[in-house]
Amino acid sequence: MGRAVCLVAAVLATVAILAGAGRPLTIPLGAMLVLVLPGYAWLGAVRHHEPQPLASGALVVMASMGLAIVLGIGLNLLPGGLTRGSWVAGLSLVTVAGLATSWMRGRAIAGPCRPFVAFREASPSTVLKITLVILLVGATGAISVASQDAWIERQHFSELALSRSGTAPVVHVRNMEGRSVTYTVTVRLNRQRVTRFRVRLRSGSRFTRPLDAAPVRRTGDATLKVVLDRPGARSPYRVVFLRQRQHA
Amino acid sequence: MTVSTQEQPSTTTEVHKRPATESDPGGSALPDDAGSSNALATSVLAVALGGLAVAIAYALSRAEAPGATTLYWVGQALIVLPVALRVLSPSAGARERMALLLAMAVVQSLLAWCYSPDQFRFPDELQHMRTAVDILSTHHLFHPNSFLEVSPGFPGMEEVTTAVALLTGLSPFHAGVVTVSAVHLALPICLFLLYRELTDDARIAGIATLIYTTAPHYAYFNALFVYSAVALPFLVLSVRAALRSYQHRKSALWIVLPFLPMMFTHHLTAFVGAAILAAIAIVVGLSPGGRSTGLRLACTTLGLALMTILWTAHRSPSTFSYLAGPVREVLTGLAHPGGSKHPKPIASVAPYWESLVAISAAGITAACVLGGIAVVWRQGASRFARLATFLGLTYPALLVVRIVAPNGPELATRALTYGMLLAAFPAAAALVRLWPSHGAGVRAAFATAIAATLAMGAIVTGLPPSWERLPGRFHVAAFESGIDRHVTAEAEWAHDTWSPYQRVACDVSACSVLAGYSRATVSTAASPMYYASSTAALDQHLSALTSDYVAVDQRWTRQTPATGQYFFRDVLEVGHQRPLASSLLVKFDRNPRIDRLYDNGPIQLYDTRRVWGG
Repeated sequence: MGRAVCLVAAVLATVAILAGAGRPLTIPLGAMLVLVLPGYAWLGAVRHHEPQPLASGALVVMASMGLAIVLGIGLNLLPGGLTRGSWVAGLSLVTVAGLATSWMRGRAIAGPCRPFVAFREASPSTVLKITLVILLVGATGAISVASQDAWIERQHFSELALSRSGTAPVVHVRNMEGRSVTYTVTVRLNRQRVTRFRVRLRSGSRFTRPLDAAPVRRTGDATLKVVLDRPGARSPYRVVFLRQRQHA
Repeated sequence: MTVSTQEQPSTTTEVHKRPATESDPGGSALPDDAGSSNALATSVLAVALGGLAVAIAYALSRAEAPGATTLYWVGQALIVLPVALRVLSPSAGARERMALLLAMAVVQSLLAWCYSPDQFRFPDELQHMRTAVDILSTHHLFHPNSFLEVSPGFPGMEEVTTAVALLTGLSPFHAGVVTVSAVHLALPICLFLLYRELTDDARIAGIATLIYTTAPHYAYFNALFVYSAVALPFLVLSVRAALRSYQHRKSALWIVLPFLPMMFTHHLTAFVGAAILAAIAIVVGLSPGGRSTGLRLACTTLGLALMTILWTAHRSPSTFSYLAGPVREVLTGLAHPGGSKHPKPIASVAPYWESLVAISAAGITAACVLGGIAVVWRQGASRFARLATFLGLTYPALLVVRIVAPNGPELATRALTYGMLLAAFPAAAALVRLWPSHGAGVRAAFATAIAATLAMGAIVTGLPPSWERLPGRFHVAAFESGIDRHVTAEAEWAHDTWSPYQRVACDVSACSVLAGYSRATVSTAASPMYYASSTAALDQHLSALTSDYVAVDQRWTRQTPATGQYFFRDVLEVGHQRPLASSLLVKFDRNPRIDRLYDNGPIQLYDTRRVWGG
């Protein structure tokens, strides 16, 4: 039965992943294909018997990882390298090879149901405690994610940046203030104001605008300066600049 | 205490017929009854409650609310004490011991994730994230990683991580968490199986595993996304295979199966593994009926060592100089003991009681190791077991290294990951003598207190250091606490705007994120540039570095670096007594050939290519 379960799981995982199934399917099946099935098949083939399910489980995981590591060194030699397709094909082949080896050696593979049988036979008090443990673990994770998100959200600031798109500079503004803000963007070439505009951004959103080429007034070095201001903050709030030579 | 007394190695048929002993009443094959399941569930519930308490402590710390530190220690006590009490107890069965050690590992993995649940922040993790990102981008291994040059040559962890990411659709971060959590959960079980090969006694095996979990890096660093964590269970399985070759007349070639993936995963673990296997070959060779097995083990070990050397020379030759540095430090320290010359971080002086606990834990462990060796010899155990306990003398040796080597504390702490493997067995024998199977009451309390002290010693000497044990407070140029939203935003902008391999100068925190997520090439020789006081000197340093970008954090002028240095290989060797002068940072704005492209408040990014003609 164990061999059949393993084969079915490997086939399901292969099909689901290659067909681009959704993450509710690919997460458990993909993780099983990397971390469980190859080791499960090959430990059965070499009949490495451990009476304790926990011991078997640990050896299955480590054997699967070991096989994946060695397989990856081999897949690297392929022209395509380590892609989703090559991993799926390689791990499935390794799993099937293990199952075939166990069949040829006449080894039976234990089914995976022992832990579930033990759970079913547990007393109500034990089941309650295990359920509480699962809830506590879930609460631990949820509290950590929520508190980390809140900590990040409390760090309020805005971001101003310049990049180049061809020859024209592009200004970027990102609002991480935790609320909507109306910014004032002032662009100066040397000390002369070229343009000024306002932009209202929701929290978490970005604004990008290419700057028109500044009119050439004289030759020599020129500083293109962009200043970002916002209500309630001392001016200038953020400053970026490009220093460049201007030609007649 | 029932350390194996047989003089001949047991036959294969005896593997699954271990007799129920006085300290393992359930044996390894008898099912546990409902009563012991209920007791196990109660202990696991207490451990889970401890995990929740620590997570709430983290949340309180992030919110800057009071009570976080107290709740943290209460949580750690709930995690450790129920496990220690039952694993030390003579009445627990093999299944219960394994389950409790596994429960503790589950909670520790969970808490390592809870510390930073949205991204990796520890510098070593980001170094390996860079290798993983390169594999996902290029679909091939061995792509150069300027951040950690040796990492691409040992891609085992990143291979599994990228396979999980590609097949599940998870992000590289979540795939990495899944990978390291799986190995951290498997490790205590593998350790238990290893120590069961040395003794028929599940109680000693369980206690030895418990003692191993008090190695400083076990609970946190070895639960992070670092390659040594993934290699460790393979080391344990290799050593176990070596012992089985003697105890159960298995072929020595079984060692190759776990050794190979270890060799592809972490350099130091592979070399240490070869050394440990060589030591075991000697022990086996000196044991009754073990001469031919010892010889076969020695030949297998020699072959594996040669393979490791060849692989390293072929794939990552710089590994030899990388590892030689710490070895040279140790030898220099032994030849000229003079204490640490490394800068002591100003902000990181641990509370006095933590130093006392650390010293006590080290002393107790050394005493247990030495006492355990004496106990095993006096009890008339097999020569194999007696000789194996001598390997535990690595622990006192590492204590000497800790004292005399220049960077002794860090070197010894990292080396204890391997040293404790050998020291745990004799130490367990001593604790079993302290609390024999007929003992209870005072002896039980004393043994549990010892285990608790060792566990607390592991927390105070391991990571995170005391000044960032609880998350939430920003520290300049620190480990996890040096990466806040400003630093992350800087890296996001760089990732969106820069092409890969842009050369950037930055502090240790910003460099970690820029190299890890934005695939930048970070400079490790930039500190003189930051300390330059004139424009001419600045231009000279920038021309030498050929940096494309320079990152500046105004908070350097308000805080001294928590780790003692703002920058990698900081030329200011004695450490920073005061924050940087703000005049050192103004020079970037005044240089006519430097552009400021990014500003998020404390952090600015400058384009310096026009200085050197890039």
